[in-house]
Amino acid sequence: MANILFYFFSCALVVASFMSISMSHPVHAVLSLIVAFMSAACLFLMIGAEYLGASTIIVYVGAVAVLFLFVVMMLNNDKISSKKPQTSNKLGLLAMVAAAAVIYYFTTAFNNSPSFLPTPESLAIDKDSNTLAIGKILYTEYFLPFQVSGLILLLAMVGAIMLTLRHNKPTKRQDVNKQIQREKAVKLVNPTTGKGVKL
Amino acid sequence: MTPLFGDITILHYLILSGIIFTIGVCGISVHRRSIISLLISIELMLLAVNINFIALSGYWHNYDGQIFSIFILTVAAAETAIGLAILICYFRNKGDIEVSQINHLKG
Amino acid sequence: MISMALEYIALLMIFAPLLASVVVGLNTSRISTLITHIITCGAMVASTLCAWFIFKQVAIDGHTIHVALFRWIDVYSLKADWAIYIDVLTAVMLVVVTTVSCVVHIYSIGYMAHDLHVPRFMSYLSLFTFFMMMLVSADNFMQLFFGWEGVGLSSYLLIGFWFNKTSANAAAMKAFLVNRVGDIGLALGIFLIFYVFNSVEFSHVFSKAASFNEDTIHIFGHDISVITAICLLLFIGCMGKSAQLGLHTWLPDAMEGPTPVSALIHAATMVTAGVFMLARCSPLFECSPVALTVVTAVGAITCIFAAAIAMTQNDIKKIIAYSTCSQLGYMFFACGVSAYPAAIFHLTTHAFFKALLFLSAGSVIHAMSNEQDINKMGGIWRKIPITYGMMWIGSLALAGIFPFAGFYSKDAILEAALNAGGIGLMAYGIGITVALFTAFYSWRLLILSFHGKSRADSHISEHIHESPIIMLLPLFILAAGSIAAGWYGVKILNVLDPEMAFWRKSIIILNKKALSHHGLIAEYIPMLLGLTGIIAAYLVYSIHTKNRYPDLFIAKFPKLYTIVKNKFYFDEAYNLAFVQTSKKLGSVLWYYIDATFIDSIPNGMAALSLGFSKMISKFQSGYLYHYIMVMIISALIILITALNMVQLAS
Repeated sequence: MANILFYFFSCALVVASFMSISMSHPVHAVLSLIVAFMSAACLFLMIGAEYLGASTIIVYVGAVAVLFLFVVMMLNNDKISSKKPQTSNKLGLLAMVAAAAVIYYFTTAFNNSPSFLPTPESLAIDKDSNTLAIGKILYTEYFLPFQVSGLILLLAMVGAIMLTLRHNKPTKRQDVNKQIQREKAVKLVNPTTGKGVKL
Repeated sequence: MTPLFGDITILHYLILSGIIFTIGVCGISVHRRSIISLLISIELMLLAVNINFIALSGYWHNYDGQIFSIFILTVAAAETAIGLAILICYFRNKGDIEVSQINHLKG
Repeated sequence: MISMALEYIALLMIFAPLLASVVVGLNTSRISTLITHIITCGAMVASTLCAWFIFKQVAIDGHTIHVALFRWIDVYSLKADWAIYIDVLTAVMLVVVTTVSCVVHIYSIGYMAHDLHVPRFMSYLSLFTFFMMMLVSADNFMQLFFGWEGVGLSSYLLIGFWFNKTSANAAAMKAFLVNRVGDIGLALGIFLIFYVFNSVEFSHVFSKAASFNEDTIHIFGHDISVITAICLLLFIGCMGKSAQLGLHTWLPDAMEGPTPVSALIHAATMVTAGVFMLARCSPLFECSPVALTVVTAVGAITCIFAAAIAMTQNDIKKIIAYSTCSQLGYMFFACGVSAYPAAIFHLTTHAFFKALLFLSAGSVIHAMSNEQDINKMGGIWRKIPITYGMMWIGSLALAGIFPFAGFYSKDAILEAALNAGGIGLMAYGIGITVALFTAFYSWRLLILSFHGKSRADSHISEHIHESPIIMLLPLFILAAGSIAAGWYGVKILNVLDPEMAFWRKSIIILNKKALSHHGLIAEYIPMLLGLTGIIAAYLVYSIHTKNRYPDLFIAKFPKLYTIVKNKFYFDEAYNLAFVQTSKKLGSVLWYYIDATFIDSIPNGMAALSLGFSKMISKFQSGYLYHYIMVMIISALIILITALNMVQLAS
């Protein structure tokens, strides 16, 4: 049972990731990425790291992928999708072959290892839930990196705003108070009848 | 090849992680049209590393891997945000996010 | 006591001109002409008085001055001092050098009065005098060589004094370079002397000269007696310095310099350095009859060669220059027949009358507003009578008319040649002929310059004036020398006595009969020929027939005349043989070897590195994915290598 689930999710992951790099339309690519993230989250659940699975969905899918979509929508789509993809790059093929070689290498390196299977039971130390266990470690041993990651997020927020905020005034708006309070804009004139007012 | 067809071992997770990472690398190196695909490939690579960490954390009954995975999550989010902000600035200046035109550092 | 005082006087004599030269030379732009004249002429007068005093002490009273100032070279057996060595030969030379130099300094006050660079000129003149005195007072070959090179340098500086004239620059370089060719011979001679004698000091070399008579040296496959080889090499140096045949081409061109320079350097002193060296090395030359024969031959041929050319020249200074060359030939063949005293005596008298001739010519040029072509002069003897008279005195002395100085000295040389026999007889015949030629061209000069109808244009004719007294006084002094020196030398000082009592071992002659007299007829033959020449010149140039005799001669022998007039085409031959060859060689070496081949090494390296870096810079494509690919492939390689090592280790 676990095998089938594993194979199903991992296949979904691989297929989705492949699609995300090969789709021409960027929105399609991002959506495939979302599917990949979801499959990965399910895999995490299978290992027993449910906190991280949930985190993956919330942060990656909910924030990062949505951000991608916002940006893709903001940019001019016509220009992007009108050109053909250029996929003939020998270096890329070379990289794939090299990666396959490394993977094969890995398979032979861990020959004497498969004595352990990562299952949910194996991670049940003190019968705590995953979140509780992570919390016990995160706020005690890894307290400093935790605070630093907060600073990193602050940095990211400030940076993003600073980079993209434009200070020009493209739109003209009315401020009625200001209009009325102009000194020489309004003048009381007593017009004579039949003669009109000279401005 | 017998270890691959039986129970799910750590090897499976590691191979999976490697495959995803490779796909990410290929996404960068194979000539795509836009910068968005670059950023997506980077996300894939980070995902692969995440899988690696969490799988090994389960293998060794250690929560360090998962803690690190949290941090990777944080950093990936931050980096994506800033990367996209830079992309928007670049788009405003250039009007186009064609990868083959980003060769200003050409020697 | 006397010797101490003498040493100080010698020091003053030699170094006063140097000091004057340096002081004036370092301040040429700042110093006034008056101060210059006071310093340099004052130094020269002091030097001259010291030289006369030393002459009396050394030559008449018999002291010898030998003071080593300080050691110059001291390397194993090569020892050379800076020294002052004054024996009779040196004393005679010093008198000549200082007197003529002093006279020329005073003359230059007047002649160069309108020049812009007077301090530089006087400084160079004094510098030259210093070098010449170092040359003659040397006690070893190294100092001689130093003086030799120094006078060559001064000659260059003075010939090229008016450096704005390209012809002057070229002439100065020519003089220096031709001199240099001679200096190679001299240097090789000195090297050979050191190789054989293991010393360069005169005393050592001359005392041991006879013992090397039998030794030979193997050069280019032949065995030559080593003394002969040394003498021939030294003679090559003399040929260069004294403008003998082959290395004579610089002397006429040296007339580009101012007239005082010609008088001092190219008549009286520098060109006589060769004769001096021959006389100084008489112990060496006496051991080598072959060398003496060569010297005689070269001297005789030069004599007639230069005299022939002098008869065809039109420039007043060039005529006198070729005359100098010819008289130097006399001196050389006198040395060649072992009559060194006669040669030195002729050197002395020649210094006086040749300097007189040059300075008178300078006076004429000054009067004619810098016109030097005798074909453009004429009929001026009434206007510049004193110069005319001086010229007559000089020419009479040159032609050897009794009782002027040249009579005694020329006669002594010719008699010595007659004594020697063999090649000496040939030299005698040539010498007699040249006496005729000498008188002929001297009077040709006189008649064409001073007599006849005026051929100068009216502008110049109006300005003909006698020189100021400052320029005439030196002429008087030299005229006195030209008249009296011969008689004084022979009768009072007994310079030509065969017993050589006067010279006191400064000159060695092995063959004692070189200086003996022959009797009255032989004594007067040169004078008779001189008179014949004078009469012939008058006949040819004074009598005006329908066709002038010179033009008839030219019409009859056109080719001969052209060859002689063009100095036997020596300059053209040298130009083709040496100058053009060097230029071709230089341009080939420059273009093919230097510019193309050697320069290609650094240029090629630069191009190589440039090309290489261009190739490498193609890696920087600017594309991100290229960079990432390189990173990932490198990471993979490192990983595989690390895994391999881990696998190997485990």
